[in-house]
Amino acid sequence: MSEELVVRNLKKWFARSRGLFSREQEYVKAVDDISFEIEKGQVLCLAGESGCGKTTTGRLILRLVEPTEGSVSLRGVDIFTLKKEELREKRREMQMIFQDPYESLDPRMDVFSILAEPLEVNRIASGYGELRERVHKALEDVRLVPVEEFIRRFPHELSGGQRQRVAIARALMLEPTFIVADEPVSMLDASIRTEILNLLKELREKYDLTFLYITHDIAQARYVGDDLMVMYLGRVVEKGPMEDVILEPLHPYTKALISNVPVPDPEAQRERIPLTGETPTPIDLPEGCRFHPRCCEAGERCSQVEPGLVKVGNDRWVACHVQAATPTRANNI
Amino acid sequence: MPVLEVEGLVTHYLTKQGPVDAVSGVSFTVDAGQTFGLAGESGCGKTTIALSIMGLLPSNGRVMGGRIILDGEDLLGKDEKELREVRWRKVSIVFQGAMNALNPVINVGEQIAEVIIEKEGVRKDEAWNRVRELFDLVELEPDRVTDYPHEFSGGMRQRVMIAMALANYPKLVIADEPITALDVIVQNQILDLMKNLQGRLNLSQILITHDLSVIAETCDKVGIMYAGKLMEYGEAAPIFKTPLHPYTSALIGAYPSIVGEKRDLKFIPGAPPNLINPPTGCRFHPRCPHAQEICGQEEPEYREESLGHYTACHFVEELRDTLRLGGH
Repeated sequence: MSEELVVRNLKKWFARSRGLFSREQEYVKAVDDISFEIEKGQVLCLAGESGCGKTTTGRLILRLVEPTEGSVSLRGVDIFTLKKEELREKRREMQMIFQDPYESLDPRMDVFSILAEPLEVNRIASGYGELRERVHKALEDVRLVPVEEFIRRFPHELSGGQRQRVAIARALMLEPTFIVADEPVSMLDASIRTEILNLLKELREKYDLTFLYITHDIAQARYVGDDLMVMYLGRVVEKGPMEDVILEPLHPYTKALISNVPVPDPEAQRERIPLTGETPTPIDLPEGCRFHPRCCEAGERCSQVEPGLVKVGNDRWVACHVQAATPTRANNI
Repeated sequence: MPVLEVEGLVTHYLTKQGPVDAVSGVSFTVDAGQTFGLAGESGCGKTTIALSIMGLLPSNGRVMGGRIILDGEDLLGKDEKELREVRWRKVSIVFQGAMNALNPVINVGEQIAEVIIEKEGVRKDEAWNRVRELFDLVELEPDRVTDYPHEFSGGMRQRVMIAMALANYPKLVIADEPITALDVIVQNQILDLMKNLQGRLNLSQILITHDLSVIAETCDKVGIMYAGKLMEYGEAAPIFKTPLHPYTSALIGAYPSIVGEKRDLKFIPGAPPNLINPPTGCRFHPRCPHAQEICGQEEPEYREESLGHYTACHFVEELRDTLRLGGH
């Protein structure tokens, strides 16, 4: 298996001044030194609460924002070293699907124009005939059929689910190999949500796509993903194969997060690990482990030294002093 | 003893294209100290029911029929002045977007005190004392009563909204998607708080949410809405375990879960109908995998199939085993 995406020591610190009259700068450490890779054809789910840095990570990977430090290689090419023209060329391989198709689709363009635009901008289609053919195929791929019924509609004439299908079709127009999907179904109702998730699964198989799938919903992550990576305050706290992490989370934060996911069964007996307070903003970060002030397992070392992400078992990684110190259990996984 | 009885409620919105049959003959009761969950997809009429109870329908909304009996009084016979006596004092509502529901330029304590002064006619210092007590009740620091909405996090703002809803000691609180925009850990903090307050104050609650998992974990009774009608209604456990209506079964089947075997999820093909021209017969029949000819012709009777478990489907008996086995 080959690596589609390799992320190394990626950082994004947003600078802001401490106050109206202050010259001092402070940094929002939205993404603070993260590394991971995704193998070809795999779906890596990136989960965490609002403000943990998951969306910024997605945007960095597509170079929609410039990083403070670090590298992102897509199929062997470091995208941060590319010049403008080269980047545009490379962007054909990587696309994004956003949460809100209302905002990501131009309300003044009909479905045909929305889907034809990327081909025209990149001068790909060799004429109207080919353009039309490819737009038709894309609509069939996302099951907006009969095509004639949808092709001249405008975004406001489509339902939420249909709009998201158009957004997916658009992302696929340039035949990318890698897609960042940022909460693509969060705005949709349950049954439509499932319809879109099933469609993404199908397209993934059909075109051998690789995904970074960003979501706050672990149950959804379990349904679509092969691996799970959890972020907290700009850092990766845990990653590993999806089922392993869900069945036996190692990081105290992952444990709490998973135990708090509601399940559609009134009789399920589950023990919830309560966490007090809310996630702070990543400005004045605590010393040591960022999670230690809320962690019930924290020891002395946790407030002094920041733990790195270390391998503790088969493909399992965790950034926790306590877990890393008990390797026997982790090795048995 | 029921705190709220809703019987045959019909609510329309008048539009240029014709009346929208948003709520069409809905009946349920909420018992003292219990939580009733109202679930269903966007546009199924959940919020319209809440607004009908509160008497807060938009100007084109009309209650066309039925009865809403709160604590022994029929609310539909009341004029606006009488309703104002009931609103907040007997029934209050917590909306989804706490940021939008609070005035950003007035500190939160003042906003709550205002409600107390208006409804109870108490002195200002008395009202402010009560605001501090309410803050304590919802586990916010009483010192923060003079803070402005933007100084609170999302979860804290929702606590402020709950404090405001409790300001006049209501018997019933309607929570319309109270936790939807929040992260799971904060969601549970809010749900725990509401559960705790319910026990302490003997509150009844209507929890409106599209999230079946949240309903499963918090509600005593459940109503599953589709296209303005209750498809199924009863105790939570039997509805999730042995749903009697194909829509309930399909909706549960569309939910991913982090427990149990990982399974393929099935979606419900098509989209909910336009309620200006609702489908004839059973409103779910165009999307129902089990529909037969009669389903498009005759509306199934809404019946009690077993104790306290109601549904409306022509093929309850025939489908009983199929739906139980998860054959959505």
